[in-house]
Amino acid sequence: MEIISEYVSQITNLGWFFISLTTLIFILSVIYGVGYLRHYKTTKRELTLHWGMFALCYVGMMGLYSTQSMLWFLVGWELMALGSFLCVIFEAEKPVVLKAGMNYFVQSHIGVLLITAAFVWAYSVTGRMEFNTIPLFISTLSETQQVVWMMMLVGGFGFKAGLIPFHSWLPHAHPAAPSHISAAMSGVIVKAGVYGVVRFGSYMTEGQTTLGVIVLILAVLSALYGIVNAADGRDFKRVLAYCTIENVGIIFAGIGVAFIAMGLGMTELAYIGMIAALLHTLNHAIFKVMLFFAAGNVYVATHTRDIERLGGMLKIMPQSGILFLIAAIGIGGLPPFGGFISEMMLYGSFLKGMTFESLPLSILMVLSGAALAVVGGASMLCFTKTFGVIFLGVKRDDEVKPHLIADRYAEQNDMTYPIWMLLPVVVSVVVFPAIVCSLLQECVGEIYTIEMTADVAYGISTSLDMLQSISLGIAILVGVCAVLAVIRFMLMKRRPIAEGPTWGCGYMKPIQGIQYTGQSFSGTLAEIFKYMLPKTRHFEPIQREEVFPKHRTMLNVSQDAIERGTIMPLADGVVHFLQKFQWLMNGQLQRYIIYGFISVLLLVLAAIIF
Amino acid sequence: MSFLLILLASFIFTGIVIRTKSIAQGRKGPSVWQPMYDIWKLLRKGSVYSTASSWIFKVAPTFYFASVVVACMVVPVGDLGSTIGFAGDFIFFAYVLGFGKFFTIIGALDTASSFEGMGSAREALFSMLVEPAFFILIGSLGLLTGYTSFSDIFAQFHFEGEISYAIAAIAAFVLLMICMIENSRMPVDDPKTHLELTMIHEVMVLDNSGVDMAMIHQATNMKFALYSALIVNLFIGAVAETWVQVALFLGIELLCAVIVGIIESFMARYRMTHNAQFILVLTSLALLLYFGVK
Repeated sequence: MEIISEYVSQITNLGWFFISLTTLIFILSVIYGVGYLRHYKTTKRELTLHWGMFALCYVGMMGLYSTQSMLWFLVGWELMALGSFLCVIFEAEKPVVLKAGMNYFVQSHIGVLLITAAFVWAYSVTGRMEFNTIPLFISTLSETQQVVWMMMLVGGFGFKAGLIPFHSWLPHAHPAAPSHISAAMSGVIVKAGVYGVVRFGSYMTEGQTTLGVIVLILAVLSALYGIVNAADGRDFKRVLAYCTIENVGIIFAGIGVAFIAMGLGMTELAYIGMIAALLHTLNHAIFKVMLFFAAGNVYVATHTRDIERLGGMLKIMPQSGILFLIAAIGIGGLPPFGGFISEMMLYGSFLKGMTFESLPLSILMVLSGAALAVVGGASMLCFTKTFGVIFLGVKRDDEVKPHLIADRYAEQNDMTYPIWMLLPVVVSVVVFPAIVCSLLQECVGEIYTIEMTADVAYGISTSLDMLQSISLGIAILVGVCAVLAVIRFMLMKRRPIAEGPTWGCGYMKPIQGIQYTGQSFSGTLAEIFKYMLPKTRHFEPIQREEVFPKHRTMLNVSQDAIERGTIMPLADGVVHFLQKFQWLMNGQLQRYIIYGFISVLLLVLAAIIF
Repeated sequence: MSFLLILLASFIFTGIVIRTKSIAQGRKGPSVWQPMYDIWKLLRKGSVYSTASSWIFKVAPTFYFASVVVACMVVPVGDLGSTIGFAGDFIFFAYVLGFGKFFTIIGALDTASSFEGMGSAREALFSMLVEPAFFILIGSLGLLTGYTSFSDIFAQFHFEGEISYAIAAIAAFVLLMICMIENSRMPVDDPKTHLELTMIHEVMVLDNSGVDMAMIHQATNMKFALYSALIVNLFIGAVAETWVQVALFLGIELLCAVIVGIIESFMARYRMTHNAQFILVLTSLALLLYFGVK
């Protein structure tokens, strides 16, 4: 095996796409992060370590996107995992942060294990580590083996991307990390998983349909599960973390459709699915970073992540509010922003998929489309709730006192400019979707060596032209909004305007506590999906004998259903098993010396015998 | 052109609904133009804003109205094409309405009122549950005809033989129910019981007044006409002459309004907790359509 060869650094178009996205987000995260960490009591040493690790993570990502060798890919992957882990545990003195970080560290390494296993399998056949030897390896596999090999990779990359059931580290790590790290993690680090699946999926020659069906089902379930949990959430960074799971689901749905289409030989649809997935990757990265930055500003000003204590923040943090709103509309896939275009493409591919000859596949497409429609609706519920409860109305808890820094509530320039800087990207995706997508088409076309006939090329270019008419439709929407706003303004100019308290239906003393809370907003939804949202209620019911009930508290603890159902029993089992060996570690120095002696002896014996 | 027709139909739609209800109750009822007089009156009034609210509350009705206007532009009437039309425009239609809903919901949350929060929570939930029914319904029509834009689907629809009449009947029913849900009318919600904690849409606009209120009312009227126009399109494709199509359009719109009025008069509202099941039934009906087509 040559460790250094010309394949160590060769960048594909797809690599360039991810490199540019990562670089943009990392630069903005650094600008924002400097402002954000100013609000922490930090020592120079901590900051050095933090930014050093951030840089390490960046180096790792550049490595993995630019290499064509499995070995160096793993090295880059590992650097990224290590760097991001150390960035997450910035406040390691808090037990909950450390626990979340360890959770992330362990789970991401289970993922690495799967990826390494798949790579070693390939190496054991060809004896080489370069990507261009993978086709050779694939040609020795049967169809089932190909699917198994790829599923190992999907599993491994799924741990990073947050596909269910490999997602459970995400809702812990995102709230624990500082906001700029959450933004970078959710925006681009998670996307390394997407890169992996798209990159290595291109080597499959058979069984893509089976793989596609599995990926699509996992993806749709992730999207639904993610958004339902997000809609019910109370900690706003946890909400955003679950929303990441949802969007990763949407991205993988595009990839799944593409694989199915590839297996069926429908090249055009395969392209559209992949482009939709990559475009959504871009959109999600931008909007999620905006959301995390804006949410970070709220956190810095109020020191709480509990939305039920907030309210009315739009008045004191106008910039963060409007940016959060833009990103919320965008990430919910509503016009007039880019999220709509990628979701529209995905709907388009589901509609085309409905024409599949095989009935089960066609049904799968209909149901996925319908599920995506539910996800869209739930996402609207989630973000109207999150935005509405944090930024609108009046403050719900008097103990939350936003503090002023230099006459502003945590809206220093270096904490708002990075968010504004993303707006040009947002606008250009909406205005020139066809150009953006034809660039993405080149990313896909280079690595997927699908035969490109004139028909297919024509089909793709008409689909991309259609995007331009969506963009026109969006322009009309914006235009009508603007015209009506002007008309309204003209009409209102001569009218008497009065201010008064909110109409309380005759009740004259409305207080802040009367407002609808986030939990009640999503209450009915939580009831419908209660199997996905297990809650433990700690409450002592009032007894009959209690004439004067004493003071009580009620606590609802929500848990991740999948984590509770699979990961925790597994982890408990492992701990239980390992406890049986506790007698080995009894703390006596003499014992440990004997262990060392025995192992040396064994090694020497082994050396003699073999 | 079709935009103007839908606009025209929207002027009298609610009036006819109210008139039908009055007649069913044995009253004479107000003129069919009464809702328009009300809007005209509101347009000349000033506004009162809550001290709790911000600029979101002020722009929300405008954006809501704009979204409905743009949605109207997407829908064709027979041969009269739509203003905006492309492959997959029905998804654009649904999402543009979603954009409007987003703003009504946050506008309502902006008032810091418990009633409006409750109404908006329900609006968000029910419109989420309606989405899949709409997608499967129009998606199946698209599968039947091989197109994905409203104009093409409806132009092609009647060429598909006898089955299209059966499908049109089910589709019309589902669309009518979607229309009732989107406008928060009877089987799901009762617009006449203000402040009894049953209403979805009406309660979200408790604090709006003046021009804003006028826009919200007109948007509701247009939404009615809009969904009815979709129903109309299921039936008039086979007619060749444009003037007959227009006449049929107005006739069927009128019929829809009367049906809505009759449903409102003779049906009781479901329990709020049962609404979710009712709405999901629509999804399964739409799935039935899909299997019929496939």
